[in-house]
Amino acid sequence: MSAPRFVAYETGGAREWMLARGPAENVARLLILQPLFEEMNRTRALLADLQRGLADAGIASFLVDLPGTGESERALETVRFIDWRRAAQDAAVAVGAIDGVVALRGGCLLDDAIAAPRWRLSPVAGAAVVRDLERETGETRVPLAGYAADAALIAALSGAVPLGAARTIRLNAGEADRLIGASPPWRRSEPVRDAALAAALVDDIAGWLGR
Amino acid sequence: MTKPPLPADDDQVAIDATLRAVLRDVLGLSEERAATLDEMTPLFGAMPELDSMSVVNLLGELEERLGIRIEDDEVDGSMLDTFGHLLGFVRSKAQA
Repeated sequence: MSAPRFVAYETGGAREWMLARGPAENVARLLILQPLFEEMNRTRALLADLQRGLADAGIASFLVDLPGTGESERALETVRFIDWRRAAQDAAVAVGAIDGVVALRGGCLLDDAIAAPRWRLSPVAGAAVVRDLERETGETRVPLAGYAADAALIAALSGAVPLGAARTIRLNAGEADRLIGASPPWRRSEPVRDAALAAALVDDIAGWLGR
Repeated sequence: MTKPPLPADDDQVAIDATLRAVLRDVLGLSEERAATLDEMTPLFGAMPELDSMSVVNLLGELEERLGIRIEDDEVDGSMLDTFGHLLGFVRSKAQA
């Protein structure tokens, strides 16, 4: 069955974690790179529905907790941008033969570090991620919206853009291989569950994998 | 699935529709409530859903959906005080 389980990967001399879901005898294996910072929290329900839907389609997925995020014991202020890119690579190596990388939002700034086919949901430039953080700072008066990120990480992130070929899905508008009409959960302070969006994404990913 | 509103021959209507859609998505307004917004409808300070955190989300989503860039010094009380003012601002940015 497809109960979620934690799978370890080693990066930067430490053990980090991925949340794996899907049958042991799977038809395909995907690595999932989450959005960054607050958008990661807001897409938690979407990612859970996505992993569940993929599992039902026989596709195993591994949701990467980057150093300094999620289950990681590392302090975010010690993390550099290059550490996140290496972590994405190391996670892919730990999973073994992967059929593709699914990246959302700021996660699309890391997927080109992995040699595998790429599928992206609403990729965003690093400069826009940083601008959101700075705006939240302006509103809340808490430095970097409460994220104790190193200045060097923020500087490197500012210059990062999604690179390489990918199948790109966006919501509502923009340049994409396919547009889906839906409310972006990463823009809601308290996102509501959208099973139809998760199902549409699962269908697209399964089609992309040729399943 | 809804198609994105992009009639090239009527940018004004398209921008109005996009702004309503963004307010609906970011603030969780119902379709009906978004449709009844008019020029004079008060927003920031009057609409409980529009707190300072949602302003950040609103600006980010408008930038992304309309391909515009909003500078910090352009964001002030009057730009967000009514639907009409916000619509005027967004139209001026989208046509710049």
